[in-house]
Amino acid sequence: MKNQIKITLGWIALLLISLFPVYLIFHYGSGTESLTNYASTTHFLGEIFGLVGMTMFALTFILSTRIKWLEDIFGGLDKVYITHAILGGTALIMILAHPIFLVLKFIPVDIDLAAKYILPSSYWSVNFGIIALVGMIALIFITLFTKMKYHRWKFTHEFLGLMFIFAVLHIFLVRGSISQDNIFNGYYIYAGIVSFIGLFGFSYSLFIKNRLFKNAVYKVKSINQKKDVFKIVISPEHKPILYKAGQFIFVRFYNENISKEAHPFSIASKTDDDNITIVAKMLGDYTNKLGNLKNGDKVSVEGPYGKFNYKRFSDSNQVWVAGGIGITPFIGMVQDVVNDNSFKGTVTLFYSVKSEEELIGDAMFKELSQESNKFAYIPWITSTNGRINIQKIFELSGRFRNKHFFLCGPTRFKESIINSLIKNGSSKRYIHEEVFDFR
Amino acid sequence: MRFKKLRLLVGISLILFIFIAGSIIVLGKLVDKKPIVQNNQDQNVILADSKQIAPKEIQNETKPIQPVKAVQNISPPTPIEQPKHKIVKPTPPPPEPVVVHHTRRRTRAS
Repeated sequence: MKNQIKITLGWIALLLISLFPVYLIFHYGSGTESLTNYASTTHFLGEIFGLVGMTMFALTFILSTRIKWLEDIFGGLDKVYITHAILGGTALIMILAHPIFLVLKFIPVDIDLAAKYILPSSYWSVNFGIIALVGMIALIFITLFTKMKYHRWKFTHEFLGLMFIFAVLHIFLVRGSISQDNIFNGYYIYAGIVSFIGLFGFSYSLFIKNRLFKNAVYKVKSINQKKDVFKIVISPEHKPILYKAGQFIFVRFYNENISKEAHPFSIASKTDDDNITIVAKMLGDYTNKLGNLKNGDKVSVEGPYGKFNYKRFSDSNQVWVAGGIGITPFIGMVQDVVNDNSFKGTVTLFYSVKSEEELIGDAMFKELSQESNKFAYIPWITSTNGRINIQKIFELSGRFRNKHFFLCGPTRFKESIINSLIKNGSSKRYIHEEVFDFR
Repeated sequence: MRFKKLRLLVGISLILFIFIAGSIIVLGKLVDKKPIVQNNQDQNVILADSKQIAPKEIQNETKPIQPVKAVQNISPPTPIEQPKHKIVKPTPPPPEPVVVHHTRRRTRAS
């Protein structure tokens, strides 16, 4: 419940900051006086959409900094990135409305003048805004509607910082050149603060963070491949990081055949083990190349991140549901829970895969379930049993009342189970999911 | 697929934006008529377009309207006061006018 309150307060804070320009316009600007006729009302709305969108745009950069306290507010870095995406999309919608509302006033008078207003001209203050808008449309379109390879997408996504710089030039220059109206007193102070927030977030993520905080250095200790799944164990060169089972890390492998971008992986080892186990499936251009890793390759580790851990609900019975490679955070959690005397509940793990050969850690789960009376393991082979559903989970794990559900796996798999759980009366605060596709 | 609702909202907004902005630009281009130069030998006289001057109400609220191209050799007239179909004579007049060119200044029909 406490976590839900934090998330709600986080969202309220974001909305209040985003809508702050509306307050400024009504309190220190023209306010309701602008709503007297069609031309001034549409112009007023255009300015509001622009300022609110710009504020949201700036906040998205703060949400991408991976600062720890943001994780605490939104319940894990994966949830912070979801918030970042939602806010970024909303910022684009607001910024799209900005020029449209500004030109609406010209349409009844002169359509040609309206057309000239939204096309590039000799006014660079406006052109900067047009560049920022077109760039933002292209980059967010790539993020939401294409399946570009991860490292290429990440490269393109960083150009949003450049678009923000163009937007900053637009908001500072536009008033002195083409718009003489006084939006509100202190406009430049507000624009300065918004610009600082966005530019700080952007430069912190890209340049400052890596210089300020050195990532932990590990090396590859062993690598095993079973079909299309790699099990990689890395050991610390100096001081190991402290983590909880179920969390994830950003890993950068230093191998000439693997790209150097940091990639998120769930930790598949028990809490605070010096060595970290990563289990990765060949799902894309990056993971396909992991077979090139050699023992002794240097590894940079950033993290840990995430709040996906059973210990927050130590008194409750729990159902863990994994789909395919979504088993990875549960591998360490199972090893923890069977030896955790502070845990008073029981755990039933459902592990859904297409075929028996795809099961990862099957022998270990079977062994631990026989040793411990608080852990039950149910492998689910979809090729023979059909898709796992809520009825089957109910039959095998008993009534759901006050049970906490932990889910990790493909998005559709999770969504189907979450929707069924909610339909069957489970509360959202009893459902915890790990998101591992950030896009 | 993640962010289903967000994708839908952003997608609809993008389509609306492209439709509205595109319509405005296309309609604007249709309405916009190129200035007419009646005499090819007299291309230095490029006519100003009266629509460049926005109604007073709009002028107060938005950017000053940008002239299309510099009007060369003649001082730019004030189009608001220009009566339609006014004959403009190039200044200074040609020293030896073998053929006298008349240039018709036209304003947009609207």
